[in-house]
Amino acid sequence: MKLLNKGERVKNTYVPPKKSFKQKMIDVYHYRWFYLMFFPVFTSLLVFHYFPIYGIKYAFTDYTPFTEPTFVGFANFEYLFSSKRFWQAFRNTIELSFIKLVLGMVFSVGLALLIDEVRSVNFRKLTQTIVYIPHFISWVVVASIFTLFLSPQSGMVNAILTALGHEPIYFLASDSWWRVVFYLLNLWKETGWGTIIYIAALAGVDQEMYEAATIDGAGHLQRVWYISIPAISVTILTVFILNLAKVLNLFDSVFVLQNDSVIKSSDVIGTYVYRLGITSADYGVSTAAGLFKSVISLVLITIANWLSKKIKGEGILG
Amino acid sequence: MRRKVTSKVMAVVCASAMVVSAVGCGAADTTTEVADTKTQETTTQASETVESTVAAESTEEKVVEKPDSITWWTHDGLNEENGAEQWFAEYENLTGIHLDHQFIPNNEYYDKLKLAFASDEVPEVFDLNGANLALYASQGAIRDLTDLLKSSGLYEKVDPSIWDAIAIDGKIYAIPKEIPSAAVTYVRGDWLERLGMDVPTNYDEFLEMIRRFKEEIPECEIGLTAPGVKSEMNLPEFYQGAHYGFAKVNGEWIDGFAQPEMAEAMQRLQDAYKEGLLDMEIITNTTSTCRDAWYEGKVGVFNYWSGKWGGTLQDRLVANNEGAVALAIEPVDEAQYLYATLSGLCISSKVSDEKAEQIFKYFIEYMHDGGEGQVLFQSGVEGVHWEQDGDTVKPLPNLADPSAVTTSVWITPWLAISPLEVTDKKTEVAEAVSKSLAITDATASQVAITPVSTTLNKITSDLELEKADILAKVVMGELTVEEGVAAYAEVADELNVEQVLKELNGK
Repeated sequence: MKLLNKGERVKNTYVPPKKSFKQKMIDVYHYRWFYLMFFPVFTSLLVFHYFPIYGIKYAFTDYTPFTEPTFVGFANFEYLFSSKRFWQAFRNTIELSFIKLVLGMVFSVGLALLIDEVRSVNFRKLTQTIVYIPHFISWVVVASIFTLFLSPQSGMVNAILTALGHEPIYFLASDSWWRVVFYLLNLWKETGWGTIIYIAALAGVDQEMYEAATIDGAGHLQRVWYISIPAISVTILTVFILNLAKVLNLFDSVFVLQNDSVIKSSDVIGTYVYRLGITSADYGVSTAAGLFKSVISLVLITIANWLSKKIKGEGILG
Repeated sequence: MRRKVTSKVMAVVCASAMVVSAVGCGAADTTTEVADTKTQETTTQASETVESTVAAESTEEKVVEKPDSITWWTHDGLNEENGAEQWFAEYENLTGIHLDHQFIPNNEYYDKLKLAFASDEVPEVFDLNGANLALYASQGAIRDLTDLLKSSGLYEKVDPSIWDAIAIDGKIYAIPKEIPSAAVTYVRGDWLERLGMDVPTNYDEFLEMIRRFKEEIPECEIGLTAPGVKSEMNLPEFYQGAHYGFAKVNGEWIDGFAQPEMAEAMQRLQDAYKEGLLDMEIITNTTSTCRDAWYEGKVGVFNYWSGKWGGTLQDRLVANNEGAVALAIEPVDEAQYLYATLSGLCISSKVSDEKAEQIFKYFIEYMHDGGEGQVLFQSGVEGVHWEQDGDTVKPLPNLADPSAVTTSVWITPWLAISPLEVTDKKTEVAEAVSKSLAITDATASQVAITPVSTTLNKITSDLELEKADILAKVVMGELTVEEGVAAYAEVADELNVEQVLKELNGK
């Protein structure tokens, strides 16, 4: 077997030469301005993402803001796992998140493919700008606007329904309609933003493949199906895995749309933890619920990465 | 070379920008500190007025030294745009004490206060409402002020019912800044006149009034509006003395939601909702959407705060609807108007005995002294918030909104827990304010603060979720009252509400 020499490339894999500590320090000095730029980000990561991990110890304590934490072992988890409300919130979180994730991906990819087909540069830019805007509107504002639109008494949507001879629908107070509204609002707000990465991936597809396919007689849909989608499939998978890590982080969008009539069917882990922390000041149980959520997220992302390796031969986590 | 220099400069600029943005959140505090320091410097020649007033009361009284400063958190009252800086300077000028004040937005107040306790950065004085007061007291987070209060002159000056209402197990942990507001039912007086109707005196007449508003007044799109269906205070005609939460009845704590009266209230709400007399969107309403609908002139009945709000509801209504009248009515025979649960100023338990005594004397007692201090806390600074007009205090235009006047700063003059003793600082009260106030003063009841139970604290979150769900579904007709009652019995059993009652009743 041939040994690689320092810096030698084999099958496009670059094996960096080993460097001494002194050489590494010379490199650091050489790139010192990049390190300087990175420093605030690194500090912020440490302070806001890594140091707080220390707080998971409270999941194993009886802790309120007014008393010193006392170690209670797994009592907080026992309490959570025996609570019907917790499992209900967990089920709701999984259902709402996964449906939102899948719908979001399908619509984002679809919209990206449509935008990619637009030939007029100005119209394309205009379309992109318009579909990105909702992402920048806060959930509080979105909820206020759509509560007005969907009002059964004075809302635009019900005015149309009534004009067509239907009874008005109290969308936000109906268990079944609330979920539909939730998914639609998420699509309206985030689909445009989700297209950015797919549009970038589509821009990198070799145009000669489309030309060759056209010569071979491929139609419009066939070119999309056999060229565009396979070309961005790695990107889709990557985005899916990255989004999977955030799948249980539902809070804002649910909290601002919740009301007493749908509170059980819309309660998610985020809102459950918030209620426990705020109304009962039970930081121990809230931290336990938060930790459970993080563990599930870690499991999900590990499974997705393993699947990615099986299907694509490589995972994004290494 | 030039490119290299440019890169270095850019790197430094980018890094600096990120650092500056990261610490940006703290900038406001720094500014406040600078402002505070300035104020402190300019007011070192403090007046001895308070000291002399207090000293004059009794020569035998224990001498309590003045503190240099007091940290105070608020979430309501005077804001920065309306002369808060001048107010704090005046307080320091009169007392020689620097108030280290922080204003917290109302919706973040309790979250931040709990975090302040968790991080050991607690303010010395802060206010707590009824629900939180019991929790903080039970956790030993606030001082028992009973002895300080009883040894001061304040205890005797205030109506004993106020102390009874704010006491927890016979102890006083908070001193109210003012009497809480009560809610009163406002109806469209001009519509009553158009229909030739009298003010309703019982529940049937009340329903008939809403029915006729809906049927015969074209502008009436909503019969009665309210922010949700959980508040017995905002729906007194339907609750008729029933309780949504735990309540003290004949000296015994009961689970209000499990009582037959609550089932009857649910039935009334369900019937009225089905008939279209209640706002169709009552479940998703907020207080602001209710107020807006009232101002637009499309609501017939709305229960809201008496007093200052009586004037606002009338003014804003008539601004959009000429000749409209927001008429505050007496409760119908079956209904009971209620005061909001009392809230009050507390002193952190982390404060030393000596400092607590100082805070009580020079801050809490001072704001209820019947003279200079009370005028300062009620009306603000002379020349900034008010001016002398004969023997009355004439409010000056609001600094932030000159179209309005500043009628109160920290204590609403007509809600003070003890009256002013000085005779030349009277406050004129508008008719719309005094009318609604007179009704609630005569008819409203105080609500006792629910004491803490360990079990209740543990289950509150789940219990509230279940009750809210059951009530909303019953009102909207998705459950019958019987199904609602059965569902709640199951929940109460599962969450061990019986144990809560035992703990509340000290068994």
